[in-house]
Amino acid sequence: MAWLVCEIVRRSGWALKLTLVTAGLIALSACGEAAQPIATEELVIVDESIAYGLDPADQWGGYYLRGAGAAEGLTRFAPDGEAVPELAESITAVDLLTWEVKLRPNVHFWSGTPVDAEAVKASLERSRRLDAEAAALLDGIRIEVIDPITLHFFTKDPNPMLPVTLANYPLVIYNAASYGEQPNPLDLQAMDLTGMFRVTSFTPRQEMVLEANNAYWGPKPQVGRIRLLQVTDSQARLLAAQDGRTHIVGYFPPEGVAELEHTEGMNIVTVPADNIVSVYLNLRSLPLGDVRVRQALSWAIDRQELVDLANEGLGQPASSWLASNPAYPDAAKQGYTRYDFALATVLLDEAGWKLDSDGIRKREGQPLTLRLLSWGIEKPVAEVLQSQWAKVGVVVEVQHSDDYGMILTRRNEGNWEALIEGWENLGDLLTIASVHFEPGGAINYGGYDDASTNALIDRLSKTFDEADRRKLLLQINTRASEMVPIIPLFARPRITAVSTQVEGFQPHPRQGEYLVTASLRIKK
Amino acid sequence: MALGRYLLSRLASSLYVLLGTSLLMFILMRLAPGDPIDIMFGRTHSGPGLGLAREERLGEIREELGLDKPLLAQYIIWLGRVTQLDFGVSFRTHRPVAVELISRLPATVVLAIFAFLIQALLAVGFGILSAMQANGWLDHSIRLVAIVCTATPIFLLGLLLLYLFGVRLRWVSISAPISFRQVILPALTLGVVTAPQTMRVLRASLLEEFSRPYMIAARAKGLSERTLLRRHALPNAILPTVTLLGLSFGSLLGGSVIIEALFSWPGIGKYVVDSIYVRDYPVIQGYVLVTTVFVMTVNLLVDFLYTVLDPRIRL
Amino acid sequence: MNGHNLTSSSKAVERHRVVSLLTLLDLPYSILAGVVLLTIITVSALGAPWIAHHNPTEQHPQERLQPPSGAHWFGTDRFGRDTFSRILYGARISLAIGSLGLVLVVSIGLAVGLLAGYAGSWVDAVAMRLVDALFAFPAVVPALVIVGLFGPGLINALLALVSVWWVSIARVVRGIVLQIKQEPYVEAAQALGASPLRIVWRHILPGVLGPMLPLASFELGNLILSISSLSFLGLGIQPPSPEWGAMLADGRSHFAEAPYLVVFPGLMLFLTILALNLIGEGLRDILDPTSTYIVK
Repeated sequence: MAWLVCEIVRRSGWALKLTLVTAGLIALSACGEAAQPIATEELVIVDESIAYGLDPADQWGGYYLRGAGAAEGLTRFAPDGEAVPELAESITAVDLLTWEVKLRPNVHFWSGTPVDAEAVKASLERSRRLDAEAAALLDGIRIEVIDPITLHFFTKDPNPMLPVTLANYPLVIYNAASYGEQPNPLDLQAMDLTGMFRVTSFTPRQEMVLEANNAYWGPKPQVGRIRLLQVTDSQARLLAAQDGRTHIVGYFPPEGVAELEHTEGMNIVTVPADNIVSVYLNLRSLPLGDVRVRQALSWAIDRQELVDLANEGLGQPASSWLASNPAYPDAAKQGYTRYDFALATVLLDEAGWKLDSDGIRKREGQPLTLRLLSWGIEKPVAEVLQSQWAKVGVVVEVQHSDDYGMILTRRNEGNWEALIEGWENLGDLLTIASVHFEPGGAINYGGYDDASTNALIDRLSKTFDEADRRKLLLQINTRASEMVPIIPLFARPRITAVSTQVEGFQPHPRQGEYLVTASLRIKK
Repeated sequence: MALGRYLLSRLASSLYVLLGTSLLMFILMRLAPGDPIDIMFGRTHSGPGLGLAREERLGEIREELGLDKPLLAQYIIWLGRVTQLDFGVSFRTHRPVAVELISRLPATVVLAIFAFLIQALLAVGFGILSAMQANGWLDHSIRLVAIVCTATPIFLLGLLLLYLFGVRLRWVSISAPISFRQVILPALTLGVVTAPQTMRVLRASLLEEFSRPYMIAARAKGLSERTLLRRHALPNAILPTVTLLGLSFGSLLGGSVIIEALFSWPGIGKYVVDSIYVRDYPVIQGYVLVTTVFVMTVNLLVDFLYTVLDPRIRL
Repeated sequence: MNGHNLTSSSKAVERHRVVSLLTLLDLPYSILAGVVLLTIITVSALGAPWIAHHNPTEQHPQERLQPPSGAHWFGTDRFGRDTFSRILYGARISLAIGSLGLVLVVSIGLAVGLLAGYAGSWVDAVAMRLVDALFAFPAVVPALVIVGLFGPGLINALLALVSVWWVSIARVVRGIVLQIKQEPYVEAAQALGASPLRIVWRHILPGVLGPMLPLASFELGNLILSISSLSFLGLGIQPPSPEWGAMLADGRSHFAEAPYLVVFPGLMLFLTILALNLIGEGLRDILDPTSTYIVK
């Protein structure tokens, strides 16, 4: 081999020699990386997904940057789901249409620019202009600066949920002047936030390095540096948790939990999350236009078995839309609280779908066939549903893809009957109800349009009394269980693997948004 | 001169191929269902009453990106920009496509080089050994191992190696930065699976050379086996192997999706797959262009190598 | 020499080759081993409905993730499905799809290779530059695009692969055609005014078929592997159908507690490809021992 190389080098001209030298240099540069020692004060975090860019108003920037400990809002979600003040010192309702926000004094952006009322307003207005989600949240809200630490928020209609609204990630506060008029996701110099960690280097969708912000207004961070890595493959994340060099692994796969129990040095932190997995039904399709069929499908699901098979037993069966919400324990008694195979068969018979000799239900010679779309991690859920529904004589054609574009296209074209997705259900329940159940709602995939539900949601938007709101929401919940536009399945917990070397990790139902906190520290 | 004319003709035919493949990919992607703008904003919570305004805004964005124009017009515009070395901007990250691809090239190139080196070493080393001991027990053993290696699915081998070295022995880590240690495992997987074919070809060529009259004459003259190998057999037999190695290297430069997925290697292959999922057209077009250029270049280099190794061959 | 003698003499050569192929005593051991292995696999695949004790798609939650035992020879997966039955039915799928793919790939590759090789000049140049470019493309990229067009599924994945894989056959065929074109009997036939079609059919094609046999064996192995790769990436078969690559991908998530879920499908893939490669090697030793072409 060496001879071969020598011969080639000897006989060839300068071009080849140059190529060889270049190749050698590239290779050497790769070796060079290994020489750098890993800082002992560096916290290594692996997550499924990191930021696309550094601009909070662009491509979910607020979500990722808040999760990395770099961005903050006027309020934030506490682990119990309540919205609590963050950059705001207090937020009070002056009257039915006005909220007063008093800012914390002496808070500065990383650049030293003070976080005053003008800056806050500029940030929110810029987000409203550039980000559809922010615009939706601020719809009908007018912001006025009263003095350097006071803002008034005027709402078009009475809105008791403003603190919750402001806690959402599209509304994190940043230095709008520094970022400029247009979306500016890639300029590290333009980045100016308030968080306890500041970004020092960034490769989109690969790696983000942050350093402690020692001028932080709150409790000082106890880790010098954080390295945030994106690893999209769930099995690779499992390996990362086992290799002894990663401190925190987010979005940990449930199948790896049992295995990690045998690995020393890592703990599993499970938080009952705000993520509820459901089957969205296409009410416009032929078999599913009949409410009895939809109800039968829901009764025919053994939810505990589903959780055991598809999610390794981690998670709670959800009997209704509100069931997994800890603030609504009553909801857990509503809806599909048991597996009722008999009732399912009765309903299907009533709807005219009779069991044929081949075990498939037919009506006028047509078999009851459903196309079930699933994406990413929902594949095991789809397989279990396929098997369970087959028992009642429903033929399920699973169309699984890691290509969300395909799912989206099929959905828009109406080429589907059922679709599995998970969505959050903590926070502003009015908005969540509205997007799920109101005609035209962004998550109302199946074309649900129910007069009584629409009326209830309308009333809800005008009701302030907490007790009344709860009653209305439970009514919406009951109605949704009767009409079944969406079949709730189970609440998927958020699983994080945390090294035993790490202290101060705070479990949070919105773990992705609240991964990094000032309390994190590495044991010596 | 002849070299210049040859280069020119190669350039011309390469250009034709570049046009062809990029146009093909362009059409295929546009025909695929799924609108990139819809996908970009698809998973957003959007409040009620924002529906119409949102649709307008999405339409505006489509216009800005030129997605509302007829297919051929879009292609020609893209082509025009490419000739000025403007590969456009990624729909998803808003970074220039050139920057996106270049940022992932080092990882791909490093992996390609190491995989290539392993493949070449194994193939040439064992090919020579096997041919020298033709039909002996060593030859049979080597050929058996080679067959076993070729038959092993690459994702299975990768999985097993990763588990052994990553979990059991903890020699490699997912979260460590790219380094020599990191690249060994994926490179080994690639090299081990691709080497046997090349080895077999070298062995066959060598055996053919050994049976030629001039070799018999040289042996009769009393030249040592080693000299025979080095001076006569190998230079002649190496040509098809060089072609193969070249092709293999070109292919590696395009990125190996499975390996990158298994080992979390931040290369181009997986990046392109993700871009296809979100219909990030500029990135995909850029990738097609870049890989085709790589392959053409490697092919050209291989042909040059031919003339170096065998002066009889004229371009 | 006149044309008739040439034709019959090349036919004689053909016959001799076929006869020697059938003489068992002349066969190298590799072919025997390969054939035996392949026969076992094929017979198991065909006989799956009788051999398999369990339904390959039926889930038994109570029996999930069980190691190999008397009741479940290869254990059960995360849904309690019997792995042995799934492996058998998976064999059916792999062999069927692979064979279909082989027929397509060989047909297209043969046609293009013959055309390019025989026609020569610009046709050849055009075809070969295209072939060169396609040859280097990671097959996954066009596969993904096509799957995006027509939707996920085994047939679509196969079509995607075929559209890229015919290239290696075409290359080889072209190379052989170029060689045969130089042969005196071909030149003579041309001089006698035989039509190109006749020449290709009677003179060139038989010479191509010899090297094609081992190549077909290798290609079948490659196709089966590629289908599995695509299924491994989630692009091919849809649940609940068993396919070795998909089973491997599914088994990954439980590799530590149930390694047999990965090992058995992997082993089956390995053995099938091994068998086909052994057969290919053996055939090559007989029919075309000095060949230096490669299968991708």
